Order: sequence, then structure tokens, then C-alpha cells
Amino acid sequence: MSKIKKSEMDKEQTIIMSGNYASAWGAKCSRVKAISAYPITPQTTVVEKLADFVDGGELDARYVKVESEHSVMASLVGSSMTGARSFTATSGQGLLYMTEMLHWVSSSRLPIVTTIASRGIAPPWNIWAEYTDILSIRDCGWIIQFASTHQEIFDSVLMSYKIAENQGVMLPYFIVYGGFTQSHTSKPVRIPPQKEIDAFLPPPPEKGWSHLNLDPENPVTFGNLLMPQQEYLDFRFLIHDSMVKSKKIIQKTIKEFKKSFKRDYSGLAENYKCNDADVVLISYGALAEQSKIAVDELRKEGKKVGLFKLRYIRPFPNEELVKLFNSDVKVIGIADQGTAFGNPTGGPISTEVMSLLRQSNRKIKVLPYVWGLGGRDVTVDEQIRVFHQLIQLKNKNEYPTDDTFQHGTVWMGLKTGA
Amino acid sequence: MPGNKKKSDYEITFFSRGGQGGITSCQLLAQMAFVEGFKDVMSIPQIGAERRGAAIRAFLIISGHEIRRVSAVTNPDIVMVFDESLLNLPLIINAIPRAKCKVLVNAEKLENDTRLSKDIELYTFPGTSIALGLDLLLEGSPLVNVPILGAFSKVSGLVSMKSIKSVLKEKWGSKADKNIKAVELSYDQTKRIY
Amino acid sequence: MKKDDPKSMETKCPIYKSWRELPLVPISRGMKGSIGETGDWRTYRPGIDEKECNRCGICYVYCPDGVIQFKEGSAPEIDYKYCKGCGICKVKCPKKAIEMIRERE
Repeated sequence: MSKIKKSEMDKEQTIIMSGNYASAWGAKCSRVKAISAYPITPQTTVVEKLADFVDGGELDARYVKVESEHSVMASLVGSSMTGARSFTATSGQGLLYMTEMLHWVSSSRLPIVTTIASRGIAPPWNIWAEYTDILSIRDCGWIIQFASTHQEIFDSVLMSYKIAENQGVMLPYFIVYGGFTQSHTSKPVRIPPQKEIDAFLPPPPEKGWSHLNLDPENPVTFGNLLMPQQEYLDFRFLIHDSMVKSKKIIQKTIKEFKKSFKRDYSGLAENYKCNDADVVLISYGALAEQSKIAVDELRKEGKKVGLFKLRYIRPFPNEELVKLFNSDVKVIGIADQGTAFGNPTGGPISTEVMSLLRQSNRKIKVLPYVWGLGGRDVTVDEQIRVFHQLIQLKNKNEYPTDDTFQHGTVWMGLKTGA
Repeated sequence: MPGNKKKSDYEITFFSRGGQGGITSCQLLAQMAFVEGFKDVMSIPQIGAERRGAAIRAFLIISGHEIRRVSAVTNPDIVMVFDESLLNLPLIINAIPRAKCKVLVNAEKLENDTRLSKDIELYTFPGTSIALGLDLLLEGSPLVNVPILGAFSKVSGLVSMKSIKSVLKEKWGSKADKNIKAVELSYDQTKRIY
Repeated sequence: MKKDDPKSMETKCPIYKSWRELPLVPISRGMKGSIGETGDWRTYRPGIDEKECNRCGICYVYCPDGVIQFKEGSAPEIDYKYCKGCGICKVKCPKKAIEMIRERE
């Protein structure tokens, strides 16, 4: 770098910024080289801010405007195949439109990072926080991490490239946060000195990725046909294998991040006061972060409750959950902010958590919840009521009796005429 | 309401019209409160599909603790109304608490308003005439979002004029002079009605 | 994967016994017959009448499998190890100098 860019400070600075700007700052500080953009609410200000950075000479990157989200991801496949650190952001329908290319990216083992300002899926149109967009593409071979605070959005981008570009991982990476509740609200975000970020996250290898590199001097064909008797099946297994093994790299990166920047993101899941708890709520995203207030309130009354916040759902924190099942816990509530119509519980993650219960011999009662769909407000008081329902289940073996309890799941806030 | 509020939490609701700068001043006040020394701040604009002229809400939480909530503010300590005509809207009148709340309205005169509860503290400031006097206009409309900062400082006592001025200077440099003047004028001209 | 030298151009695609030996993704490098000797697929072979041939090279351009060698001034040569016998060269030859001949005739 010949000249110092105005936003590259040699001291840490704290800026009040939106969740979307935290994502854009994360990409800038990770020195991404290729950005492809198509606007969609509530993500748009991420790529707008990045356009500002590139236009103002503060970020040395190619910025490509394309005609759809499908093309966004297709163009990043190209840029990433040359070894360029590549980035984009999207939401809702845009993510769904990208779906075909998402498989292309993961099966090409390209470490592209994409932030998602999650929103409800149309019709009817809805642009507010809900995770059905990301949850419905959870099996595309991308790492999926929730960021439940503004600082975590920024920090996660730095960590995501370090994890995704690790030779033992080589998988694309989603960082997910709520539309509007996080994307458009502003909070203080600490931006470390660029020098420290560069030391934590070195640039990718100059010669490109070792497994796949577009180089006119050394042409290769990629994406050709494999017959059933050839290794198609085996390459599928490799993706799953790397996904599972990425857990170690994730944990290692979180530790390194803590060492460099003094912020601790615990692991694939965060255990908040669960160790001696007999009632635990499992959830993810900003609403999980908010439930810590409910836990604190109930703890003041002597209730042994805890929150188990899932930070990752791909890879899935199996070991952490089985450890929780083998603790003192007697009742578990699992709250999904998204739908999986017709699956065993109606909420996708509750079904996945329940699939691990048989790995523990303890008898644990489970009550799945669906909450906050389409940005429906979930207050701390309502979260306290959730814990009271779970305590009721523990003490009296009573499931909720009101009309919101449908097909074995509580649809919180469902209008019942009451 | 257990859990919804800690003693060191202050919640402020902004009512404005799309284009009046309500969201900008919410954002600015977040920054000013942070400069003032509050541990955490959060500005929450309630926008979606942007609509010029429509009534718009924004919330600000300033706190001595880490803010973990994401749910909407329903029981504010302070309500800021960018234009007295907004008080004609039932949606807004119904969202203003009936007690234990300070309400700050941009109005020249608001002596016998029957729409608001008598159990609140009511303040006014002449934001529009201050903006017009200083030629603080955006696309021909007077900008109330800067004068309201001075009035907020006086009414709330949460953010000092020093913090307000330092953020304005950081943001606009030498161009901040007019804005600082507007803030000073509105601080002086903010009146308690009852 | 090792970079291929010209000698290994005749190598067939590698055979993997275990997933542990696999690279991260499958890629193909320029090599002859990565899917085997496709000359086996042929029931009719194209034969060039060198007297009729005007050396225009159109057959070389149209051959979908790149098995026709062509040097300006001499008649094209077909690599029968890989020619699948599709007959496109016969259709495209402006001089009708290519005939499809039944194998073993």
C-alpha cells in the first residue's frame, strides 16, 4: 500500500454503525478482492457501503454489478477460482434465487463468504427478521453461522475467511443476522487497527487455491461429468467430511481471535448458565441473545434456567448438545425463528436437535417453539413466559393448553381470538 | 414489567414524517450518548418500505449495560414529536404513555392541548422557526432534526451540549457552525408547558 | 495432482481405490482420451479420398472430438483410436471427399 487510507487507523476505533455496515466493514478489513452485488432489502446497504469503500479508494477490490443474485454467485465462482478473496451479501428471495449456484460453490470447494440479512419469504411480502431463507438452504454445503450482535457480525467476517480458506475446510461460509432488528439498528462496533487484522488474517496464497485454480497458462476443465461408478459419491462424502472436521478449525480460530482481539465467541454454541440448569431454552440469533435477560430475571427468583445459543447450525454442534443432554437438564425448549412446513415439529432446528436426543440415555422432555416469524416482536416478557411454560412441563408434566399449541409445537403469538 | 427495563436503561421514541430526518437524529443521538459515556446505545429505526411524508417511528435505547434486547420500545421515558401535526394521528397519540413520560413537541404554541395526558411532562421547542431562521433546509423543507438535539439535551439531561457539539463537529467539520447555532437556540427556547 | 508432461498425454484418468486419496474436486487436464479409447464406439469409419480432398480443413474445424490432424497443404489425418465415427466430417466436406465405410469391410 503506497498511501495510508483514511479509514485504516493505527488505533482501535469504536463506530456506531448498523449491522449491515458492520458486515461491510468486516469485508473491507478482510481486504476482499472481488465483490459482486445485486440489491435486495434488507441487505442493500451492505453492498452500498462497499461501493463507497471501493469508489473512495479505501478498498482495493473489483466491484461487479450484475443482473440477479444467481449471477452474483456465478461471478464470484469465477473470481474465487482465480484465488481472489470474494464477498457478497443477500437476503430472502435473493438467497433462494442463488440456490443453484450455492451448490456450485460448495462443490467447487470455494471459500466465498456471504452475509445474510435474513427476512421472511414472500408471498405475502415480508422484509423483516426471520430465518426461513437461510434455514431452507441449510443443506447446500455452506458453513452457516449466526451472528447475534453487531460486533459479532464484524468479527465473524474476519474469522470466516480464516476458517473457510483453511486447507482442511475449503468450504463457503454464511454469516447470518436478522433483517432490520440487526441490519438497520445501530450499535457501537469496535474496529481493531488494520495491522492487527492483517496479522490475524493474512491474504490468501498468491498462486491461488491448490485444488483448483483458473490459470490461462495451465488450463484445466472443471465441472465435467462423473459416471455413477466413478467418484461422484466419494466427492459428496468429502464435503460432509470436511464440514464435520471444520469444527476443530472453527474452535481453533475462535481461540486465536480471542488471543488477538480479546473477544470470546465460546465455540459452535454458547452455554449461558446451563451447567446447573434443569430447564434450558435452545435458540439462535438475536432473539437467543435477548433471552439471556429472561434467564437473568428468572435466576433472580431462584429458577434454575439456562440458555443454549446455537452459533453454528452447519456444522451442527452435536457434541455440545449431547453434553448438555447429559447434564442436569430435565426439560428443553427449542425455539425456531423459521419454518419447515410438514417436518416433525414445524421448525427445522428443533427437529435436528431432537434427532440427537437418542445419543443420551437420560429422559428429557422437549417442547418446540416457532417464534418471531416475519419480524413479529418477541418481548422479554414473552420469553419469560416461555420459561414458565417449560417449568410447568418439568414440575407438573403439563403441556400448554392454549390454542397456540398445535401439532406438538407452540406457535408463539399465533392469533387465537383470546 | 420485569425484565424489560433496567434502571440504567433509557428509552426514547421518535415520531417524525418520512424525510424530516427523524431517523438521522436518532442515529446522531446514539452517537452523542456514546460520547457522553453510556456503555451501550442502540438506534432502532422502524422502517421497511421507505415512504416520504408518512409517520415514522424510531427508537433509541441508551444504557449503562450491554443492550441485549431487540424487541420494540413500548414504554418510553421520553417521546420526541417532530411536528405537532403528528399529534392528530390516533396511532401516535395512542403510543404516547399517559404517565411517567416526558414529551417534547416541535411547536410554536401548545398551551391547551387536550389530546395529551396531564400526568406527563410536556415540553415544546420552536424547531421549525429556528431551522427557517438559519436556512437549515433540505429540498425546501426546514430540518428539525438538528434543533431537536438541543431540546433533547435540555429536557433529558442525558446528553450534554458538549457531546452534541463534538459529534456535530466530527461529522461536518467547519460546516457544523450553523447546526451548532441551531442546537444552542433550541436549548434556550425549550419550554416546559406543564 | 501432478502437472502433466507431454509423455503422459496418453495416460488414462487415475483410478482411486479410496476416498482418502481423492483431491478436493475432480478436474480434467488436457490429455488424450480421458474417458477411454472412443474409437471402440465406431461402426462406420470416415475415409478421406486424398485425390478429391482440396485441403480446405473444414473437417478439422467441425470434428467435435478433435481427432482430425490438419496441416496446410497436406490431406487431413484421422486418429482412429479416438474417432467415434459420428460422420459430421462427411456431411461438412464441400468436395464430398469423405465416405463412411462400415467397420471390417
